[in-house]
Amino acid sequence: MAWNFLGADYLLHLIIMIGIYVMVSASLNLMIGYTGMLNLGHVGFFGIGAYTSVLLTHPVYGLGLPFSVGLLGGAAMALLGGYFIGIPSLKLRGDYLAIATLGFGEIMRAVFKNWQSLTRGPLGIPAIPKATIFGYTLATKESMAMVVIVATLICLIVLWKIIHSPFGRTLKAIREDEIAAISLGKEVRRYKMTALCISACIAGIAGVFYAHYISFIDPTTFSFSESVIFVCMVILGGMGSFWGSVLGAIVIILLPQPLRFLGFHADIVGALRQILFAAILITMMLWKPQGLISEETITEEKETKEKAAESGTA
Amino acid sequence: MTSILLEVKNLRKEFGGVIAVKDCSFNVKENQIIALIGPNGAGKTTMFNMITGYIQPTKGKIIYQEKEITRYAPQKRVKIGFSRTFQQVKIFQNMTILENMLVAMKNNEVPWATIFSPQKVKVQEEENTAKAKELLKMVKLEGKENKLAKNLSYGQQKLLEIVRAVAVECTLLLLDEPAAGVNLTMLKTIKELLLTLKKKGLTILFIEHNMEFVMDIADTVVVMDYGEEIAVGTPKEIRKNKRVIEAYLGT
Repeated sequence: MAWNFLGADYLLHLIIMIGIYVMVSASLNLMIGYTGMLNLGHVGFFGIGAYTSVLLTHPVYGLGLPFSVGLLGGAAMALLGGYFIGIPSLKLRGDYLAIATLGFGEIMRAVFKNWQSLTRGPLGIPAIPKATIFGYTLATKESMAMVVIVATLICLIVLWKIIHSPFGRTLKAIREDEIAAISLGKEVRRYKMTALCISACIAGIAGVFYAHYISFIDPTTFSFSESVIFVCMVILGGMGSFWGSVLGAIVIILLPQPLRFLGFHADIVGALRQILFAAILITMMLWKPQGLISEETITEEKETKEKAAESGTA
Repeated sequence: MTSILLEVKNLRKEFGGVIAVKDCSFNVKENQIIALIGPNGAGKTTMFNMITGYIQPTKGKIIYQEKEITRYAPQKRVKIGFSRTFQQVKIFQNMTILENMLVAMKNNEVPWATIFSPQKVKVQEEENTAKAKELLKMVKLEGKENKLAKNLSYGQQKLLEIVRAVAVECTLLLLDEPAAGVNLTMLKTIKELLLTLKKKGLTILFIEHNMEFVMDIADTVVVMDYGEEIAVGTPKEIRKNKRVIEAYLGT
């Protein structure tokens, strides 16, 4: 029995889930960690990606188009969603922006739930077709894991390039001091909007993979508590630290796993998970508010390395 | 005869019933250093914020290079050659000194720049880094490029803010109390920096309370009191002006 739990299938499942959540966490970090925009409605973009792709590809409840169309559609719709929520809410800052994005997440959930002719509402959409890539159906977990890993890596590389570009540097400057950034001629709103759209787009892609992997979505999948878990990953890993957000996602996926093996009833496991996340968040805030890998240690490491190099040459 | 770069015409700002700036007019000539002085609450910073576009005047006009710019947004003013610092130091605390400088400089700032044209960005980046190091050298901050800005002393942060403002390629440099809270050695550094910049063709407008500093480097001094402009002249004239002595300098 235990072998079944710890078998290859289970490990592959973990890898796929980690891949999906790393995409979400890294994209959210672009907003929270690098641009300083607290987003409590990231699950909205995740949900838009999932629902769009499912409605495009599902043979019974959707249009039955190929997966690639669903993937592109999901990413594009999430990006558009980011743009439209950005227009009214980017005038807001800090806590106010957090509330506005929270509202957005809840609105999206309400839409998924109430637009029944399209989404089947609370019934959810079952039997979502497996993802296909170049005509090859990813029926096995191995193939799905491979594709998710590749997609995650591509998203990470793109984010890495963006963060380490002059654009990314300006995002950081905006986080540090918006008025100073304005004084250097930066069109702050345009930068924030771009960051939001990129972040939303990647979350949408993650949503597409999630839907086609789990093969069932309903509105409860995209509730506020999911957004909180996303934020948890970023804070746990370290805001504004690239590898921090990756590590945060891995830890948040792996940490509750042992609960499965302790023999609790399935209902209790869910609740325990929530308690565990809350405990992590509180502990981190008290002991290590900068996260597991803080932005500063990275910079300081660079500095000491350079110093060592200097003294070495001297 | 140097031409006029910036013209302030009957500028007025009311905050509710309070008149912070009362119909002030003065000219800033090209390649000059102009000091704006006056007691606390005289409306100097309000004037500054109107010139840089951070607050909108109730009445009056601002003309720059013969173009009216009264309603321009701050960023748009930067594009036409403005650059400013703040009374409270506003640097990017959790970024390195070099990063602080590079943010101010031009490079390809589309998000995918490093994906599609990494070489171009890199070349520009290297050019900017060299330029930044040169500027940092002028205020004796060389060798500290990779330090986080928050680890600098207050005076050094102030210097960094000034050179960062210079790094934005500007024609008109506006400094709000560049010498406040700065020790004597650094004061000398700032003086030298401003004079060098003037030689390079910049026009500088600054607010300051340190009279020695003002008298040393300003070509023209504008004195404000209770929102009104009470005198304009060379430092020598201002020192002798009765109204200025009464309102501000004392005996």
